[in-house]
Amino acid sequence: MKKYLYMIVLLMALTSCKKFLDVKPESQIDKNELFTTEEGFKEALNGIYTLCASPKLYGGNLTFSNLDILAQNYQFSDAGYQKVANFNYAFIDVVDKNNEIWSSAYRAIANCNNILAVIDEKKGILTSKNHDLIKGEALALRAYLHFDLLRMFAPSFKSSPTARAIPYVTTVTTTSTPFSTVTEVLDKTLLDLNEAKVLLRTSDPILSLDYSVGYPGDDNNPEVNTPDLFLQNRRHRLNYLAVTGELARVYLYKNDMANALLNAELIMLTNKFPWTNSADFLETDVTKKDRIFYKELLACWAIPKERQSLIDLFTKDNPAYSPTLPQIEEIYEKAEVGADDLRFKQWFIERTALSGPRRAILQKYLSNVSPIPNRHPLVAPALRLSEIYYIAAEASFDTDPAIAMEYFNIVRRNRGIGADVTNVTDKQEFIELLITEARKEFYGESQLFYMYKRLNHAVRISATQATPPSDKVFVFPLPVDEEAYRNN
Amino acid sequence: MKLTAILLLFGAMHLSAAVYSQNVTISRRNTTLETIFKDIKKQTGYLFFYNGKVNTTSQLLNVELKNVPLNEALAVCLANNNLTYNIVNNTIVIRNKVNTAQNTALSADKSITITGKILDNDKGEPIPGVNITIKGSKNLRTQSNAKGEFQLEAEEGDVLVFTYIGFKPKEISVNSAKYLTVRLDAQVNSMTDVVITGYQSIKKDNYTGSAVIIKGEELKRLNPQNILKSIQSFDPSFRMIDNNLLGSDPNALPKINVRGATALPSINDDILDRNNLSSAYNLPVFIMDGFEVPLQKVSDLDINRIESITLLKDAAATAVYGSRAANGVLVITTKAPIPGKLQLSYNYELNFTAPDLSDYHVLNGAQKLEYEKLAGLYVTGNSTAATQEELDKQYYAKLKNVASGVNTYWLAQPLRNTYGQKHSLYAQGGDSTFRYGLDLRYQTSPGVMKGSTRDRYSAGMSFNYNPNRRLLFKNEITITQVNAVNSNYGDFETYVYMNPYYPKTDASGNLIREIANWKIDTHAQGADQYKNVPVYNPLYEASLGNFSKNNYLEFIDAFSADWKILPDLRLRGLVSLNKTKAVTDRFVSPLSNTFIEGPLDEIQNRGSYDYGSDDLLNIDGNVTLQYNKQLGSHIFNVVAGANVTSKKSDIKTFQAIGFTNDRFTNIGFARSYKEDAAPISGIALDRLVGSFFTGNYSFQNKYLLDASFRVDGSSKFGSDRRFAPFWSAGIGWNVHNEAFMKSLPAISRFKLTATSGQTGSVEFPANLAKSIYTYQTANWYSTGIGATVDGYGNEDLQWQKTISYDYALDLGLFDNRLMINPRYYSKLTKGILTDINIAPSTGFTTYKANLGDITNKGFEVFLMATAYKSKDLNINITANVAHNKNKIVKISNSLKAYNNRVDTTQANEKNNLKSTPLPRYMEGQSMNTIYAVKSLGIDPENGKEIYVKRDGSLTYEYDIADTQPVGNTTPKAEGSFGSSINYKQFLLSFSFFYRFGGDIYNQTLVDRVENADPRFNVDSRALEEKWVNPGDVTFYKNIMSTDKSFASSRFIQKDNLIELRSVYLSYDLKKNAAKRFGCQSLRTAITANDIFRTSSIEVERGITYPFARSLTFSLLATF
Repeated sequence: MKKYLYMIVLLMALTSCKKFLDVKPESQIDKNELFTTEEGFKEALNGIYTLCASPKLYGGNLTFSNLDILAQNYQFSDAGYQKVANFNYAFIDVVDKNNEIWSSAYRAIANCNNILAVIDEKKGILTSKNHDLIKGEALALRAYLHFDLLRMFAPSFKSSPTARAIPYVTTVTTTSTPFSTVTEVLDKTLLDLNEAKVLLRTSDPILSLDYSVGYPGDDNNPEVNTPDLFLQNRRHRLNYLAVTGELARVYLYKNDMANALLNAELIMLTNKFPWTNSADFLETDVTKKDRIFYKELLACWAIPKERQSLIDLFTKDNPAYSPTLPQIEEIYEKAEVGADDLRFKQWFIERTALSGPRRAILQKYLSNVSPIPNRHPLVAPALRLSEIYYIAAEASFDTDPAIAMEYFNIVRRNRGIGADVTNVTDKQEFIELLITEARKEFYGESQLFYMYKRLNHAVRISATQATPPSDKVFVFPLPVDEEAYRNN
Repeated sequence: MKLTAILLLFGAMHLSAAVYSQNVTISRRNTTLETIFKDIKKQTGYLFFYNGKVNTTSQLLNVELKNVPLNEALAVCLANNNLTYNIVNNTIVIRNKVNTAQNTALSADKSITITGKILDNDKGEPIPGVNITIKGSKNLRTQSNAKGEFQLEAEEGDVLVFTYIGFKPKEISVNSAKYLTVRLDAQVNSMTDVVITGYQSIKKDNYTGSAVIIKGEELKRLNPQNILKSIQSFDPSFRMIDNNLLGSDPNALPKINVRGATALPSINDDILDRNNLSSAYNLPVFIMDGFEVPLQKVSDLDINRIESITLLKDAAATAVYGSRAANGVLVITTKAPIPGKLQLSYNYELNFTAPDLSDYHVLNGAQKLEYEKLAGLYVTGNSTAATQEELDKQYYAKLKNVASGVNTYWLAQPLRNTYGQKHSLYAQGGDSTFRYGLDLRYQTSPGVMKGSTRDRYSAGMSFNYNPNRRLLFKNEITITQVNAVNSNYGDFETYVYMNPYYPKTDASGNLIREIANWKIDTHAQGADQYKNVPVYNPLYEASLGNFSKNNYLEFIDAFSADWKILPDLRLRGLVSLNKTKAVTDRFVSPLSNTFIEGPLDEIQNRGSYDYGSDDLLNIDGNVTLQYNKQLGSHIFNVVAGANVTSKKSDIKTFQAIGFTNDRFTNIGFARSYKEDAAPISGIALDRLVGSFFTGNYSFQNKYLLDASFRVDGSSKFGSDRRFAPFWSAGIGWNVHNEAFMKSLPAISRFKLTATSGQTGSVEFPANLAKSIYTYQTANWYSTGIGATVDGYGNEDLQWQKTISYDYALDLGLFDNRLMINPRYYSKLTKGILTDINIAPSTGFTTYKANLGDITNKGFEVFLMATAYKSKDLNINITANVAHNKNKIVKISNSLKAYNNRVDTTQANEKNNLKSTPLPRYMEGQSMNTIYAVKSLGIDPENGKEIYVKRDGSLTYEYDIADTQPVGNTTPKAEGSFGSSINYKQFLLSFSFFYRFGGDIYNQTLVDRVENADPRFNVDSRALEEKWVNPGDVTFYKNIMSTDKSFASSRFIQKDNLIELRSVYLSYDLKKNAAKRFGCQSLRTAITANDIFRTSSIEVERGITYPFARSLTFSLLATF
């Protein structure tokens, strides 16, 4: 009897070794285990958005940080911030932040690539709609992140299209991906975005007729009343229309006006995004006030966790970032057409500073004291309707300046500027007008710097001052680690 | 029989509960002897003891006795059963009557009547119950009586065999002598002759591996409170890394390495200073009674339970543990129950502990104020924070305090002299078929900081059961409860920094919360330029309801079965289960200073409670097949086996916030959970399987050969890399057994060994070889929970391997009265797990790979001498010395980058790290190298420091880039020496620890003298030895200077040390005297630990928790 017992013990010890050693983590999950269910793919996709919405990327660095400072939107007494505003890219804080952006963006890209590497072979476990949706969004995110890295770390297409740009990474490995040129990166971006557009065209619920944009508190808001959480808030993710808008953005960057216009007009045709009702914007009840033109956002990043850091940056008594009052009056052309500009009146309040000139405090990202809810969630804008109109205007100017001016004026009218601009035929004059408007519209959103760069245009500092365009201003130096640790 | 034992056990428990008579009354018909025995036991309290051969049930008898003396009653009852008895200490031993008459009749012509006495050779006491047989015949001839005397008939030429469990058998040939005095040697004494590897026991003579064997008793003699510290005295290669931060905190776990460090740090950890450097990877593996236990278990073990400790160091000794063995193996054997009548032993210890503040020299109130004045605190020129008038006011306010006699000795405030107690009880007994042991312990170890304590309770029960000669079952259950409380007086450092002129209490005797407030010029821009820095009274904080405690309940069951298939072939199986539940509780009062500066709208969230639990389940099983055979001059000792271990840890933690006051500290009183925080959990499962073969062969006891081979598989690696082979081989030559050595009688022992082998180490986190996704539970995205990948899982990760060589000489002179044992070793650890930097565009900045080599080379010499030996006086001297040289042979790019990162971190003012020499890693240097800028000292002209740049030029400018190796903390040699002196019933022993030749960066000189902030109390040298006037040749810079001095070689000092670690004195009561107290033996002892220390450097020791000296009185009685 005992003999058998021993033998059983021995056998157990020796035969089932392999299985015994195959240990699965329980509080976390093995990559291979995650991608065995549809839920796993959804979680991995949500994970990428969590990364993107973190302060290292769009919840901080890429929306409310150096890019916004470089657009000369603020005035600082702090010497460190002033160095950033002066394009001092060797300053240690800038170097650290750029390293963080670079590695975090590529970390998010690796997360995309993990999904993309297996999603086709796992087609069987996903419904075909979800397969297309997840794959489409993962491709779109990969393109979106690469495009922003290109806009920061490589020369503009306009100045040097064949310059060495960034690696366009599509696999997860420890071997470094070679650098591509600016044009190559743009082509790869477009390839991913167009593939994503095809996939999302049939799978994205945002295109269904009963999906309309609204505030979360609205009755029967289709954005948040889907029983499947994964399919809610399409505009918090890269939906079909956001991908289309991003295509317009990338084509414009590549100076492909026809395709840029095509995509921009596609969005206008859907009529999904209404201009914000000025009553909502002017509302005095803070729980009903739209501070950000929420309905006009094609896509945005949900950042409820950044509430406190945004208060510290913009809205507390002595915030880190604030413009002076004269600076704001100049940007919004208070002396000319801007006196009635809704944005000028609603986005800023005056405050007497401890020293120096009076300050304007930005209200765009103000969230009410908890537990009073805001009308809309705290988000970082990714792409808004006004930019689509600006793209359409710029892309059609060469062929039809009248239409271009109409697109331009539509935005102005919706912001409370009564006087239209007409009869502009000079492209340069038009571009100057566009920059003036974009500067008002994208305040605190970090898109303006990219615009200067795309146009290779001098960066306006004040009415009399500008920094002339150059790669020194527009190209962030590559992180040292990237060059030092490449292994091919 | 089992039942009897259990009855006996329960009997024992009632032993002292009643008073018994010596007369018995029995009235029973048709009853068995067993029943009668029970009656007798009931009435007299006497216990019965007999083995399985005594038949107590078959014969029925009628007994009618009324108030008859016990002797008479027994005689009547046993008369017809052919049984005899004797009474030893309240125990009645029943035996079969030996039919001597018959034997005598058969060989009457040649037979001699032999009488004699059997004595314990060590103690000189008689041994009752010794079996005496004649060699070649299995029949028991007789047993010794209670006085150890015996009488038997034998023929001339017969060989008498004396056997008794616990003693070595002895054979004596019968010659003409009629009276024999037989001295038996206790078996335990032979412990040091046998090496217990955990899988087998091998005669030390025939073993080529490197092993240090320590008896439990010796261990206890050195330090009854700290097992690990005691081991270090026996083997200097077992190094407990000095923990200058945690001092003598009873709740701190030590860091240990054996024969040098073999792990590289992970660069993902923050910049580390030496104290934080995780040395967990260097830990040896602890094997207790055949299964692996964590360090915590060893440090909480009852030292009385330890039979012996074997430290296995070289590959030949450890290869049988394969992948776990690279840092050595510590094998602990606990005491097994010894058969015999019930034996109780009781141990009491009273342990006094007092803080050792001899290294602290702080200023008193008047001196401190003088120092502040000299340092320029009251001159406006140094600060624009206050006007001269305000400064004068401050100064005179303090002067008033000093003059009115305020001179608080803050150092003493959080400290206490304290005492701990230990009661431990062990009961054992049984016969050769069934043996049992029961142990109970209660031990308190309060620390010298008020409130800190560690209380341990444990109970264990073990039995050995041999149903027949070929089978043995053992089971041991141990339950341990440890309750640890940390002092709520905070860091000791806080008190060291407090100014003596601060009063503790206000005029009405209440503790002051905010004692002082300094206005400081931060030199920042704008409104932040001046800051009020309050000085809070740490005693106020300590008076609040804060607590921090942890406790664990551990349940261990170890079961083993041993089957002698053939006389030479044994099969053993062992399974152990260790279930531990650990809980930590930490409460911070809402009144605490941590919250005082918090925002007022958060006032309802003040106070916090952290709760954490850790459930551990370890299962360890192994099966071995052993074959021992002697064929002429060939001796084989072969073992093949397999083992499986599985460790699972399940951690859960969460934090609650918002308490109203100090009275309601239960977590249920919390208002809420911490905002935006999710509970944390972590489950780690780690499994290992291995199968091994180890063989030991000796020829004529002269030529020795050892070989082991093991294949291990671990769940920590990718599926292709799970298994790896480990091996060792050793050869040895017992030269002393050669014929030609007969001509050198002075040399009694001369053994040469050489071994080599490859072992491994897997002490790293479980999931490095996998790409792991983590759920962002506290941070859902608006469309659901996200999972993100943590890092790049390197599927190619492999075992790190250590190749080692060991050469040793074992020399014994003058009949082994002088033993010298020098050893040389060389270890190369290859493929050390380290971070590799990769281009961040891959998505990852680092991944783990096997890239890093470290060598450790060194020697050890052990010396043992019997200086004097006589009947009453024995003097033994022991000494040992060890030297280790550690060298980094190869490191990865990430560690090189780490060095640069350290440079920039150190250069950044914000980090406040310029004055600490942070560790760096360079090929060719040691892990213990100190890196700083070279300095020539203070220029007498101006009190500035002169630095040497890398190119050799001199400068006043400190540049972090000039950092280079300037010292090495590794001592040239370290070790212990001591002596034990045995005089009659007295035993005195002592042990010194020493080390010399290493360097130390004297952080005290930097933080407390050179860079001392004059607003806080400082080391007295700050007042006395700083540069004041041009021409002063001083070690320290200008007293007025407020600049921080940086890490430079100026503060490197030689670290030579001698410590009296232990003095022990014991007295064993003579047997007769002990009897008067009702015991068999009684020993009283006193041990003093860490009582004297002298060092070449003066450095404040025990920064957050001071060191302590201790004195232990102990009493050991057996009944």
